[in-house]
Amino acid sequence: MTTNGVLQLGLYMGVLLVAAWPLGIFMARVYEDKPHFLSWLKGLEHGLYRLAGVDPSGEMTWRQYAIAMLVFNLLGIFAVYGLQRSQHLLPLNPAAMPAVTPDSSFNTAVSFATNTNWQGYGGEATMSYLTQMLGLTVQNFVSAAAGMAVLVALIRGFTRKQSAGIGNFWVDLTRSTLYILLPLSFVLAIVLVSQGVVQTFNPYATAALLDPTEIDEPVVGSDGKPVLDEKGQPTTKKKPVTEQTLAVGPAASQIAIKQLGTNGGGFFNVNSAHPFENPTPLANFLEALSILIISAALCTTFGEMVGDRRQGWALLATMVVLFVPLLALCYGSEQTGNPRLAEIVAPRATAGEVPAVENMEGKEVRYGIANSALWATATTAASNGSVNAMHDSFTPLGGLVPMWLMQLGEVIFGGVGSGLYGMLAFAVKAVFVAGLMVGRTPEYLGKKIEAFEVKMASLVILFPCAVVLIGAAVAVLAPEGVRTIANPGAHGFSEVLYAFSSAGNNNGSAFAGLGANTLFYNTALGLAMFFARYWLAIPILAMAGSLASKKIVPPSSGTLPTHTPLFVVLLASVVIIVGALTFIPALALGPIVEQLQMLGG
Amino acid sequence: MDVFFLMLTAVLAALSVGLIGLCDSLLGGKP
Repeated sequence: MTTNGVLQLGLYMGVLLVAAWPLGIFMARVYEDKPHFLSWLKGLEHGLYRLAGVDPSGEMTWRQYAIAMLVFNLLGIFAVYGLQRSQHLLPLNPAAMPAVTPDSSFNTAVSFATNTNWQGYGGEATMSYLTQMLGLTVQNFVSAAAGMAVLVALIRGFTRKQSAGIGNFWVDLTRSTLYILLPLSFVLAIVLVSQGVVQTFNPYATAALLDPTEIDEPVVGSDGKPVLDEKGQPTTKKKPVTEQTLAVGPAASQIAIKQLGTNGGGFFNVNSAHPFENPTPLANFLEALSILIISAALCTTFGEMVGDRRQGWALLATMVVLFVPLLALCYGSEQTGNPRLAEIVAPRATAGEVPAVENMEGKEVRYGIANSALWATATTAASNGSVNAMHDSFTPLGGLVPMWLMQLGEVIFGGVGSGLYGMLAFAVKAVFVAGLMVGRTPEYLGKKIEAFEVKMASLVILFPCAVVLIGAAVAVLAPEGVRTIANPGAHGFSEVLYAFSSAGNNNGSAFAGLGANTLFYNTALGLAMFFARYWLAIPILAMAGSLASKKIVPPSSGTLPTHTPLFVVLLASVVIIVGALTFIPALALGPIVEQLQMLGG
Repeated sequence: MDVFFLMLTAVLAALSVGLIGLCDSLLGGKP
């Protein structure tokens, strides 16, 4: 690791933690309906309720809340599916994109409604501007807002006494969007435009190449099939290329929410490695900051809403304690590179035969190794999934870090809302384990943790594990699953395991190297994304309902304090132990054996 | 294929409603 790199990472963490504090307090005021600096939008908020026929004072039981969330997301899935299938008939399609295939439409619709943003397609070669804006960007907002709403409902479960209601889904959804996501995204989009991120309805541009070139173009017969030579190989002819098509579009407005909402779906195929998505070091810093900012701030929101800031700090500290070592491992692995290669290159570089170069394989070459490792770690700690470097090209250990971060359940910052409610499920599990050790009924924030809460927390923790491991196992056994693996052996297994880890934890980043735009993967990963989102949110809401109905028990001498460094260590240990026990065997077949192969030469 | 994926989505939604029912029964129908 270099001093420069460490300083950049330290600056990032410092700015993140400082900025998260006021944002968290602001969000608490939004959810508690206290005055804040955007209260002048109240008229608009209530106008929206009148328009939709919503009574904002109407409390929902957890079942009503869950049904509302499910119906809303289902409508989103149908809307995005329909938009993709009919985009060739709709306006704002200057590149004349045809309809997206049914399986890809299903995958993308589920992907964006579940806040995953797994992309089996390339944006600039598949989607019209209307689909990108009305389908994908809208889902970026509302899927993030839905995750925040579920979290707020759970927090109310802890704070309410003997209440049947946990809030109103429509109100929480509206407030998350109107006061938090829209203003932040508006400001960030403007800043990104100032840095050079494109935002236009103009058609794709063409530019004359400074250095014209030639490509080999297959010769096609009158029957539309390739013409073969005497060896049975397709014949080609030289074709001069003097122009390049530059894909543009309304990107900045999508990039801002893609980062802030931990969505991650790129406007362009190479995501944040594209100069029109991530053009300058400042843009890179702000976009990377946006990945974690809301998830980190929600810890402060939690502390404010439960009336004990230390509770929020303990959860944030747990996330930082887990995040920083994994960031260091990823950065260290990438900075070191392949030691066998270094043994060959270093003497020749010393002799002046070759230039001394760093391990830039797969990295964002404009911003260096530290910023590539930071993005990879942040985007998989959060359920963001945008990339500015290619994780497939990282060293085995460097690639293991983002994969394991996802497999830990996306609770280290995690998705907006979903990360913290996942961490709270682990907290319930941690106080349960502590209660078993001392023989007392566990409590968390004054609520007795009983069998039902532990069952729900177990479902939340185990569902994604089952989805990832069963999905990866089926894929490597099915001929259709192995057909599109680009690399044989351990690395190919890593590509499949990564894909299901990403979909099964609603991350959305791709390891690359796996052809995923097939009927098999579009369907299998679509199912994984659906279960990973809603089959976690439903038990969380059930837990919220159960907790809200309970009394608040005053702390006693036997109560485990949940704001102390001891609890931070306990909670971090539970997260690590569950993640290790569940996934180390699978990781041993992929990145771990790859690391050993690399070290063995 | 459109019908297949729309039906698949409907089945997923129905299963999710089933999960709500399962959680509800575990909770004993309260509150």
